[in-house]
Amino acid sequence: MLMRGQIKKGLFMFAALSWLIITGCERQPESYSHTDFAMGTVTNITLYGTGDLEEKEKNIIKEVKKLEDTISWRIEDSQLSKINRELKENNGKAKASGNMKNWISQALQISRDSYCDGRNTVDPTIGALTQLWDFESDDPKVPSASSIQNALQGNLAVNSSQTTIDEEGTITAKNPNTVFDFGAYGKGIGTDVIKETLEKDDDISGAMIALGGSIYVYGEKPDGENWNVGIQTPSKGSGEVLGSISTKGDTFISTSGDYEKYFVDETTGKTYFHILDPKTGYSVETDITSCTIICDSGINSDGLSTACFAMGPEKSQELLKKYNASAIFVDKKNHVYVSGDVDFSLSDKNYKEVSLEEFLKANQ
Amino acid sequence: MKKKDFILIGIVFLIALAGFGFIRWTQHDGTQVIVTVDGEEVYRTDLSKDQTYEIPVEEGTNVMKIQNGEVTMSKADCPDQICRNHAAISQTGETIVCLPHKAVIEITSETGTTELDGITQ
Repeated sequence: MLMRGQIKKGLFMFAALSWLIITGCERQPESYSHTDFAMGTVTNITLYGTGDLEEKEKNIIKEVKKLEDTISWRIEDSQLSKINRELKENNGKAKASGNMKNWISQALQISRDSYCDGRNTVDPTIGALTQLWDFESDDPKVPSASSIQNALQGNLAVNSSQTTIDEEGTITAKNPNTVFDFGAYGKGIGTDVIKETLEKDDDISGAMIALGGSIYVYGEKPDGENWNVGIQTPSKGSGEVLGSISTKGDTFISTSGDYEKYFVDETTGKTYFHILDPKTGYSVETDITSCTIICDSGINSDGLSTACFAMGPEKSQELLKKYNASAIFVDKKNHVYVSGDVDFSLSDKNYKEVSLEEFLKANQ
Repeated sequence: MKKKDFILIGIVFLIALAGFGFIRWTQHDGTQVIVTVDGEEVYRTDLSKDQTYEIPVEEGTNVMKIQNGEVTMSKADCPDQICRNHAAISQTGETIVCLPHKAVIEITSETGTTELDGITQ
């Protein structure tokens, strides 16, 4: 009798265990994903880990909005707006404090390094020109030729090269036309700021942060696989995916394209997009339609994506090397060129991956 | 062992199977379409249900249309019209965004393994 009782118990335990195992295996690791708006763009955040992930995501968005309140020229009492006012009133001198010091210093450095064909291809000090065009306004228009010439005064083409910031945060701008605009760096700075927050939070094991075109993947996915980040197909507004990058955590990816912010001038039918050439004062002339940068810093990936977009793949090589960055260039004739060590797989059948030589030949 | 023992084992296994089935069933309960305005969820529906839905945006009009498992923004009076020109979406993880009106249409599923973790635009 005793034996039978034991067998019975054993069988019951076995069955109970199998129930736990079968159902337990099906349980998904905790994750939370949310789409929101901040910094004038769409944010998409996915968090993996434990604890109140919804609350953590909210805090990250709050942080991004706080950053926007610091670095946006559109916000009147932001630190950047104060710096811009000070520069104007104080004969090209102003003071930056806290993180702003580092951001300005880094942005200026990237800008000086991006010099190519007589202009710095990305520049945080050409606000006089970018604000004149204001691609983010409801109804952007082509500015008058005279107002563009006005904005270019004081050698705006290489303005960052004549602007300095010292260790105390004192900014000295030679050109009285100097106005800061972090448009080409802001979202990258945002991902850098979020990286610090994530690293302080032991509850979060992995995360995907997208601030518009700037992405940061952090830590590990629950399945331990690489992160897959898609690149949007450049054709205007289609929203389709060109292909995807497979990468380990702690990677920053930013894309600049002529399809992001653009408008068509009604009288001439000409299309203008938001990446401006500080030498001509108009949209950059290039064979490139989209450039994606992969590297280990948000501000670098964001800044370089604008610079390399304007420079094209050949002239970008030195810059990419200096910042230890990889890049994916797409031209207007549907060629894709992958530069550096990046695991990219093309999925859009309308595009063709080619070598640098073929890419350059196609765009001669 | 007696017949009763087998019955007991059988019952326990049935419970286990039922639990397994329940989890499967709830997880695969269709792919969902979620609509948010300024980050707040305003509507949730099944991708399999053909319908049109007027999104309650503050400024102007956005209308979502679901037909044969594909979602489009069929009407929008935003200045850039990017959402209206967006190709139809049908896969988990895909979105249509109307930036001027802060409206987002998202396709999600509880278990759906998204191929892409994010998209750089």
